[in-house]
Amino acid sequence: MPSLVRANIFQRKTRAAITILAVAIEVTAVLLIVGLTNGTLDEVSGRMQAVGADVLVQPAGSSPILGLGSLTVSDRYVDRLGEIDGVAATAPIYHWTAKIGDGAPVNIWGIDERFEQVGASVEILEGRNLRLAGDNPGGATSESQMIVDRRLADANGLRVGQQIRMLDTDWRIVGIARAGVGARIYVPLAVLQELVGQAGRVHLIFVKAERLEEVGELASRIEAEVPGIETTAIEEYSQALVQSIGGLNSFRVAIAGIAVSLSFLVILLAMYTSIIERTREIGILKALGGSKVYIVLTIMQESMLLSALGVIGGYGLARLSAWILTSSYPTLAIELTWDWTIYAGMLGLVGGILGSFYPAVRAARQDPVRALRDE
Amino acid sequence: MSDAPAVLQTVALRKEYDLGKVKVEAVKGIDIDVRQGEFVALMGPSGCGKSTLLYMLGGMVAPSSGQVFIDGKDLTEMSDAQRTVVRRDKIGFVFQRFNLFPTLSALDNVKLAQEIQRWRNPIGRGDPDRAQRLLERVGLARKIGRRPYELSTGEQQRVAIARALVNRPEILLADEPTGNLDTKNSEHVLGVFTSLNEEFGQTMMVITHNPAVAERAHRTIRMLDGSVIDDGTGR
Repeated sequence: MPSLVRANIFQRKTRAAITILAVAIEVTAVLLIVGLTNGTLDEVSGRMQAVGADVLVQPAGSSPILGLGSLTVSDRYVDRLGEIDGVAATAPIYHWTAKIGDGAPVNIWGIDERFEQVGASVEILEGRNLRLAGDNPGGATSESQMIVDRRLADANGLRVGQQIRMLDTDWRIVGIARAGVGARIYVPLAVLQELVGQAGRVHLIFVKAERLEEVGELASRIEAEVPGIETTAIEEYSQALVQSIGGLNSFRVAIAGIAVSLSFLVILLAMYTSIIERTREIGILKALGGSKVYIVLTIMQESMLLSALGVIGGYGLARLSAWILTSSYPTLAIELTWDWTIYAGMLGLVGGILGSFYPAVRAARQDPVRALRDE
Repeated sequence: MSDAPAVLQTVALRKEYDLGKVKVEAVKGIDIDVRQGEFVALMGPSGCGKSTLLYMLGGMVAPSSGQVFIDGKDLTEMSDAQRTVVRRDKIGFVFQRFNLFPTLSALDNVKLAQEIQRWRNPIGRGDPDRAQRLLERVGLARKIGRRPYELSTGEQQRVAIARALVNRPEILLADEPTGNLDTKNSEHVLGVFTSLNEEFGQTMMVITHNPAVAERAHRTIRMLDGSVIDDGTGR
């Protein structure tokens, strides 16, 4: 690298620092926005898969994003599904969303004793499990008990025995469960249905297949035999989730485009003002025999070095920001993947290269004598 | 000297500047030649076309007509890229205002010229120690790490001379190199020029208003209103 490139960066520290920071912010923005999107999708689909069921059954026209739709079916479908050949077990879920504390709305599932029969294992870390209809007939409604997962409990300082207000009812936290399975809060199905005036209605039904290798066929068979519902094999849930969010890829491309534009404009401005400031120096380079290509490359090397430092800074800043965000909001899921780390870095560099090209060419075209006469 | 080959030659060299409604003829059909090892002073009043002539000789200004030969090759027939190569490999420039890079040390300023020459020409005439030796030669051995603003004007001009010479150019072109210097520093810089010419046979053309420079030169070309009125050969 020419000594001039290094010297210019160290000599013009403020300009260099601002340019590096702008590129770093651009890289951080891309990584965080994409990381948050991917993290949320992966976390949701991961929790769904962790239930252990094989097929998700919903009313026809429902979104795989639970909480987006209000379509329900009668819980009589649960038994109807259980009679289909190849079905080992079924479990109904009533889904609800509510804010707990100052955080974002969280998913609440109303479950009954059949939830564990589809393979779901809610591991209790503190306190006890829900006393469901089978364990304590008639007692559920009066008790209004709930289980919260560890992440939500940590985020909101919730403890076993604490009472929280939801749906005009005081709920007592009876247990804290391991995070990562299904919902963040579990309550007795019948209690939730009654409180929201939806007795006998459910949003989704989990199905456990008798034979794992027949899950695809089973899902098709369910749809054929039971009208008014649709199925999703759990292993395809992640894909269905992405497909259901129309324009997700367009959103990512738009974010990338904004990032490149930002980087391009910052570098363009920085290098353009720098070139005007250094008219005389460019004249000297020409007098010393520096070719147009040499001058273009010298200026572009400077911007590439600044961009590269910005990219490295951005990687660090993104990780720091992700750590701060997930520490402050433990229910947030941010996934910084290698592929997007590489894309974000390349976007920063491409923006830098594009932004410095015009100033570099303009510098190379300067009349050396006029440049030397300029103050 | 008169037997030495001409390394620098102009034929009917003319430069006209178009200033909108007015055209100014800065150089009016000049024929000169400078022989290898010759130290030529170029004198004349301000605005007589000395600098324009010098920049045309160095390939930095394109003539309106006429020819410039360096080592027998016509600069006016060359592309901009070819003229850049000639400037890089055969010509060293020294300016009145030094034109050093303020961000670089004295040594790095000199090395920059080497860096430019070595770029895309790795064989080049690279000599990593030459920059330092030249700075020692011009009396700056103990100041090679200093930035231009930490040097006196005379010292800055000596750095500029070292930079101009680091790639062993055949021709050194200097535009009033003592114009910004006091008498003492002028004398020092002039001593450097004289010794370089005597010891290494460096061909030099120096624009000057300083009679002391003209006294030490082999000959003096005098210009007036864009024309040579005396080429110093007695012709």
